[in-house]
This record gives sequence, structure tokens and C-alpha cells, in this order.
Amino acid sequence: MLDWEEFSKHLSQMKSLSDELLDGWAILGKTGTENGAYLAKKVPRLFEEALLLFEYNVVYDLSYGVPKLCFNVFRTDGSMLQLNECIHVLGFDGEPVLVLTQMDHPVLQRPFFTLHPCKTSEFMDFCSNSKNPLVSWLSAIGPTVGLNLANEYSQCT
Amino acid sequence: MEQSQLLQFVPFSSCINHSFWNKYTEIKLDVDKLEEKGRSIWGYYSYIESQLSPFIEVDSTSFNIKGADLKGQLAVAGKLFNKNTIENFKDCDKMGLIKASGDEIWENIINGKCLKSPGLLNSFVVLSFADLKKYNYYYWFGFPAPSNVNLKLNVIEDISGKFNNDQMDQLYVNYSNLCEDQKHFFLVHKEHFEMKHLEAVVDLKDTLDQYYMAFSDACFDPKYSGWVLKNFMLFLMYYCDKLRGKQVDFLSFRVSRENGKISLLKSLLIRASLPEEFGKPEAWIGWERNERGKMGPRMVNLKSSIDPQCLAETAVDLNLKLMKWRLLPDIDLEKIKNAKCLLLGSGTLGCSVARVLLGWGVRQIKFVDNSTVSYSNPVRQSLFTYEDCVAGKPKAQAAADNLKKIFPGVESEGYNLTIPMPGHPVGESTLEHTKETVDKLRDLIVESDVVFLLMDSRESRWLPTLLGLVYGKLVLNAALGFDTYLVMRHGVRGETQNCSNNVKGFKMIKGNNLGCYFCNDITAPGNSLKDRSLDQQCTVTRPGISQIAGALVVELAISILQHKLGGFAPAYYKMQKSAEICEDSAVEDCILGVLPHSLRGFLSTFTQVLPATEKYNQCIACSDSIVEAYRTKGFEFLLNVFNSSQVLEDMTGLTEMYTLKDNTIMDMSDSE
Ligand SMILES: [Zn+2]
Repeated sequence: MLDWEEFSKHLSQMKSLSDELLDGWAILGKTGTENGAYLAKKVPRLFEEALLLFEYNVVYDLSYGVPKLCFNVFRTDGSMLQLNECIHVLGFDGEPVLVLTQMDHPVLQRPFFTLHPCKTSEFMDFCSNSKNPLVSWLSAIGPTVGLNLANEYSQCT
Repeated sequence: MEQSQLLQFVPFSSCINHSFWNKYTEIKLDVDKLEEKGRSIWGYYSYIESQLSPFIEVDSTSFNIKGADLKGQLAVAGKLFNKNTIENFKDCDKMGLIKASGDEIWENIINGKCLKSPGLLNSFVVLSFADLKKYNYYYWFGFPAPSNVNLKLNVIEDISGKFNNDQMDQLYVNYSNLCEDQKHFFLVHKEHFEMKHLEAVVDLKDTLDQYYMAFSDACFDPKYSGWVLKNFMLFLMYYCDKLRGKQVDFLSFRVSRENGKISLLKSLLIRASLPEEFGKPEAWIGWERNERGKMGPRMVNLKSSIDPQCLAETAVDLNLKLMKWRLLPDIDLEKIKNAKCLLLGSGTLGCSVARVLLGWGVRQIKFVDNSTVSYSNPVRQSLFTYEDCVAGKPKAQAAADNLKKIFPGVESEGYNLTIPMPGHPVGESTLEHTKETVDKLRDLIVESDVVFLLMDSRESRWLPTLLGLVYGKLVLNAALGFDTYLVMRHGVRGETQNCSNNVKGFKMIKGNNLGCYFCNDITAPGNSLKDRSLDQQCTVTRPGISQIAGALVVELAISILQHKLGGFAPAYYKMQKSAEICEDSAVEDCILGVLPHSLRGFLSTFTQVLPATEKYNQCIACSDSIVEAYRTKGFEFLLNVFNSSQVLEDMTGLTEMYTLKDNTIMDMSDSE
């Protein structure tokens, strides 16, 4: 478990490091209010010769009390990839997608593909020694949906 | 590398974030409406390395008054021209539009605004039209640059050939200290790397050769410059007349991460000569090519992600897919989704059944009923509202309409029909109408895959039981008593290579040997005034009963649809009290579990039993003689039955057996 205060603290810390690394993470939403802010980054990527924009958001899940990774994938014309297309792009074909689902973004109230937070709490306990469990968690689960945190982030864990 | 050709520029491409279209649609509908005069928007490009060709991105923040402040991203002020009709979009003077945008850049150069805000040297235009009925968005981006300004290229090389690592580090430190709103274009001292804002060109007029003319580049191709340098040239030609016709050293700043360290290693030194001739540009270019490589607009359809109805459908389907992925990888959701369901009766049971079918993703639901919504209905019948009673709406229609309100993706229809019944004579005057009704009911049954018998009278179940059997449909039945319910599937007919297994302690009945609702009844319908525990004469029920039975009958139907034998699936009937069906029993079940023949529930004891009964050879609805009579005589036979239900008893030989005691209830007490 991670309360909102801790979550925001780790979020800001990660954002500062990102600024140093020019890694593109931004804090969006309303920072003052509980569960009002989130961390966002856009990652452009070529897939089968087409430019795709991965939009990653790290949000706070109030009911589980843990961070949650959401994302959407767009083509350059603004159209959004459907779940089956995302699964294809991420190379999940053939494997059961156990944790990927679609949920409403807690701040934007729009549907985002989401790694379901039901197992996150266990994981957070597991990395309780980390100075920034948010970063530890994100660097562990991010790669499953194509988000690789640079090694430099390990300096804050 | 020495070269004597013209420097090539890589144009921007457009990248639209989905949130841009959301906001655009909102503004078009709520603010701009029919306004066409143009709206200022922000775009962004990045000077941090990616493997992609340079692009300008727009998103929902593009419409904000102040551009977003994002590290690594530079803002560009642009203008959106949204047209109200496709004709206006097509007829719009594109050359004129990009020239107007270019002229504005020119204005900003000569009035000095670019000195303070170098970003104003870049601009973009978007011409758009949205067909919001079809969710088609037409758009065309232009990135204006003067058409006739060229740079004669002398050298283009990595800066690592010019600077050592320490020098590059120093350059980066100075660069990162520069404000983002000055990073578009700036000056770098050639010796000590001091960086000056662009406005310094005015004061440094005579010593400009000591400076690199620097810009943040979105292009990462080592042989070319990004598009932004074109307008920078224009600026330099205007403010630095001494540079005209001279060689100028440009620094194209490109930031990349090398082995975990931010670096300028990919940056370029470009030595090139400015032209001598100079004046206000006559023509401006920069319209983006479309996905086919042609000069033309692009179109995107966003129905699936903007149309709320599509969003609802996707969400419903996804919910079911999650069940598939997480729990039941072999479930055939398409089979359920495509199942055409006919609900005979739109009362308490009909409403409950329809809702659970929706939950399973069923999309085609037809209702049949012959009454209107009454004041007592809405509290028990979950699809109706008080307004429906006031309006006196026919139940079938009201149920179909309200189902669409719950989920617009459903194809629901209502039919106001009175199902003809045995023992309810048809007079001369109603003969034609009765025939039409029978035809209509037959058509509805033929067109459907699953037929639910949910009426409130026993007699009205006779005709659809027969028709469902004759046309090979899955027929399911739910009937209510005061605090009891019966939910069952009717047996099917035909042969199957069903090698069903016997399980110790159970009797197994193949699906084509199972009985129907009437098999357990010894008397023909039509004279059913005597008390029955599960008869429909009793319309007073505990309110929860219909919800329970409605849910069960749908779940039973879904299980049948998921069974590889469908309606032929066998039912197992417990013969010994201690017998249990366990995991390793060789029961012919489906991924959702076993398929009982019927479920009888008793709310007074909160218990449920699962009796199974074989078809009854003298059944007045499903026996061979009745089916045969309908096949050969058709409506004539039905008419005889409507006029006198005695016909059924005579045909099946029931009359002789009438004295036999009702022994079918035994099934139930046995299994308890
Ligand atoms: Zn029968």
C-alpha cells in the first residue's frame, strides 16, 4: 500500500529525475487535490513503418491504494488502437493477457488500457526496501507494455 | 565533407493526439459552431532524439491560451481553420492560406516580435472539416516556409569532428540553462560557447562572425537540416544584412542519450552560404503530403473512439473478453453475441431475461406480448417506467424501446401478438387474424435461435413449444408459482452420435430424449382451473422469484450454447441420494459446467432440485403424433386444437389414461 501523499512524493521525485534526464515525464492534472494528478509521457515508436504514439500515464488507484499504469496508443491521425491491435503491437499474440484491461482513467474519465492493480499491492510490499517504490514498480512492470525506464532511474530506488 | 550543393531540409509531418480531436469536437459543437474565422492553437516539436522523421504534435492542450511547458518540447503557434462544409473545405484557397500564414511570420520578423519570441519564426496551419454524423475528420497541415530561399552547402558534419567531449559538455550545460522559449533559435559564441538570445543579433551586428547561428532541430538525419532553418535564414537575411551572400556557421542542436548520458553528439555543424538577393518572399510552401504521398488532405474516421454508442459496445464486449481471458479461454463469445433470442412474454420474466441476455452480450432480442404496461408493472418488471403506464404503451414495444435506452447497441424489436391457445375457439370473424398471428409467430420462431417461453399462462406455451420443436430451435421455459419456480430446457429431436457417459448413481438422458413443459402434465391445456403448484393461473408471486428464474433460464441457455452438443447435451438425474457429480466424473459437461434438464426452486425452504425427465410418448405438445399432425395438416390441425383441446387428448391416447395418477411429480421428491 502507498497512500496518496507518498505516491505524490515519489511522483515528484521521478519527475525531477526525468527532467534531468530529459526523459519527457510530466505531471498533469491538479497537483493539490487528492488523486488529481498523474505522471504522463508520450513515446513515439515505429511499428510496421507507421509512427505510433504511446501515451503512458501513471495514476493513483484509490480503491487499491497503489499506482496504476494506463496507456493508449495512437496513430498520427489521432485514431486510437483497439485492444486487439495493441496486443498485436506489444507482441502479446498467443499469450493470455492476464492483467491487461480497459478502465476509465481516474482523472481524465476516459477509457485507457490498464494493467490491473489487483496484484500491485503484493508487488509494492516486495519492493518496500526501495526508496522510491513507484520507480521500482514501474521499471518492473513497464516493459510488459513496452515502457522501459532508463537505468539511471535506479539511482533513486 | 566538402560539398557544393544546396542544403536539403526535412519537412515536418503532423502528429495528432486523440485528445486533440476530442477537444476539437467539443469546441466545434459548443463554442465555434458555424464560425470559420480561424482559431489559434499550439503545436509542439521535440529536439530529443527519436528514430522518427520530425513531427509537430497537437493535443488537447493545443487549444489552451498558453502553450504547455514541457521539458524537451518547443511550442509552435499555429492556426486552425475549420470549415463547415466539405465544399468549403475543398474550395478553400490553399495557396492563399499558407501565404497568409507566411506573411504573418514575415510581419513578426519586421515588427521585431521574433526578436523577443524566436518561436514565432515557426508556424503551422491546419485546414479541417468534420463530418460529425459519420465521425469523419478531414484535415491538412501546412508548415509555411519561403519557397525561393536556398542555402549553398559547404560543410555538414557531426560536431564531434569540431569539438572535444569537454567542449560538448560545456555546450550542453549552457544549452540546458537556456529558457525553453529561447531554444528555438539563439547564438553561440564560437570560442567560449556563451549563448545569447536571438535579439542580440541587433547589437552584435558587426561581430556576428564570432557566433554560431544555432537552432534546436527536430530532424535527426545527419545529412539534412530540419525545416525550421528555412525561416531562420529569412530572419538572418533581414536583420544581418552583412551576412547576405556570406558563409555562415550554423549549429543544429540535437539532443540524444548516449550510454545513459545526455549528449550533443548527434548535433551538426552546417557551414553554408546565404543568398545575396533578398526581399519579402513571394510564395510560401509547406503543405504536407498525405499518406499516399500526394499533395492532398487526410481523413480519419474516429467513430470507434468518439461515438459514445461505439464506446458502449466496446466496453460491453471487453467486459466479456476479460472473462474469456482470465477465466474461460475456450468460451465462444461470438456464438452468444450472434444468438437471436425470441422472448415470448414481456412481463416480469421477459424483462429479467432480456437484461441478463444483454449482460452476456446478446445483440438481437425480440419481444412478444399482447398487453400494455399497467400501473402495477414497473415495480416488478425491470424494463418499464411509470411513464410507460401513463402512455399506455404496449409491453413488447416498451420493453424493446427501453432495452435500447439501456444499451443502444442492441437490436430489439417488439411484437404485439396474442398467441392462439388450445381450447380457445376461433370464430369465423377472427379466423383470418388467427392465421396471420400463427404465421407471424412461426416466422419469428424460424428466424430465431433460442426461444424463451415466459408467458403467464400455461395454454399459450403449447403452440410455441410445438413450433420450436418442429423447426429445431432451442426452447427454454420459465414458469412461476407463488414461491416456486420451474426453469427447463425442452428436449430436441433428431439423431446424434452422442457417446454420452454414464455416471454411477445417476441416470443419463440424452438431449433428444428429454421432455418438454407438457410432458409432465397428464391433461391437455385448456381446462386448467384446478390448482397447480407451478401453474400460471397464479399471478401472485414473491417479487424475487421472477428475477431468480429469469436469470437461471438465461444461464441455462448460455450453457447449452457453450456445450459442444448444444441441445443434444445429456442431462444427469440423481438416482442415489449420496451420489455426487465431482470434478473427475466423466460427465458430458461444457466449460460452464453441467447442463440440467430442469431446475425447480422452492423459496419457502430456499432449496433447488434438478430433476430430469424423459419425453413422454403421449405428450400433448411434443409427441410424434402431434408433430406429425402439424407437419401434414398445418393450420387446419392447429385450428382444430384451438377450437377444442380434447383433440389433443384423443390423438395422444391420453383420454384412456386419464384415470392414471399423476406420477411425474415423483421425479422431484425422489431427488431431494
Ligand atoms: Zn412434451
